[in-house]
Amino acid sequence: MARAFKSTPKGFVADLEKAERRLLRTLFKDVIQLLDVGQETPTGAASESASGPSSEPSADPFWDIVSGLGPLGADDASAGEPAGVGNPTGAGEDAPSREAPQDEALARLLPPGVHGDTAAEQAAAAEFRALTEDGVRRAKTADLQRSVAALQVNPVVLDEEQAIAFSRALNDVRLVLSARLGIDADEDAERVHAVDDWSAAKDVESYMALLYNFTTWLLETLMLALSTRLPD
Amino acid sequence: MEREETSAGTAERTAADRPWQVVVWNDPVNLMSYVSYVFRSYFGFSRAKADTLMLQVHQEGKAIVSSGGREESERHVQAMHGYGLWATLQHEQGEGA
Repeated sequence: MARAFKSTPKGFVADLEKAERRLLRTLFKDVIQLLDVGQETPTGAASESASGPSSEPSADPFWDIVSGLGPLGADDASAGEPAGVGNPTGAGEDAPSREAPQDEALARLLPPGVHGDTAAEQAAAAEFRALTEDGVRRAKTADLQRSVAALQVNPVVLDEEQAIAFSRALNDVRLVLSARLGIDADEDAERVHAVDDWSAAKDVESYMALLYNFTTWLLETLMLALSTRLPD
Repeated sequence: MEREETSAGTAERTAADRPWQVVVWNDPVNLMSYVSYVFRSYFGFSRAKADTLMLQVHQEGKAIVSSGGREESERHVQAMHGYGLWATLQHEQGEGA
């Protein structure tokens, strides 16, 4: 069983079993893939009509969870695009606006930067998204990649900067799982929190809930450790 | 609140002076410890101030966490999105909602 993150003279240290590290690596990688698959966010609504909900299970069971067990609105053609990353100026035509992602989990990772339903607010949100979304995707992907790398050995030892990146990565995993679990209110969170018996995990939802609770617990211990290093 | 209608110069200055605000919204996922840490480490707030704002987000649904120039505020919102917090940008007085 995992031991929580602790603040030590060597850094932030957690003792994780091999299976736990592998699980986390897989989840981190799946979020990286989710951010990448959604990369080609259409500025129109072109992709909507394309194909029906044909979800085929992949070799990676976690990917099925993270990807929502269904279509993301993007097909394989766009997943292979290496563009975008590290090249903000070459992102197609200089679009002054960008639509929010249709996939719920991706939308949770990439929220609107302007609140409101009026046409002006929506336009401002679309413009803000066009200016910032690629940067947010890159930052998240970098955090996730660093965190995958940090999980290669046990114990997991992080310096403060790595620990902050790791906390963001863990939180992104939680955001994705929360979207799949339909956590929209505090009551939903409580319902999910009540699932704590790994031996009783028979369906995807309870398994997802256990993953959510595991990552929540791990993040909570990391935040506790990190906060001791800050001045009051 | 009141705009000086008699002097265009004053009205202009008033509009330009209206600061941009970063609002952080409540959600059922982000942990209180996480939100408080982000406020402390990113904005450099004291523990007391960070906890007050975090609780305001949690209990009132949102809190204004910073106020300033537009570019600076946009950077803050983008950074908050990097942390997974639901932050938005608004022009002070721009919207009552």
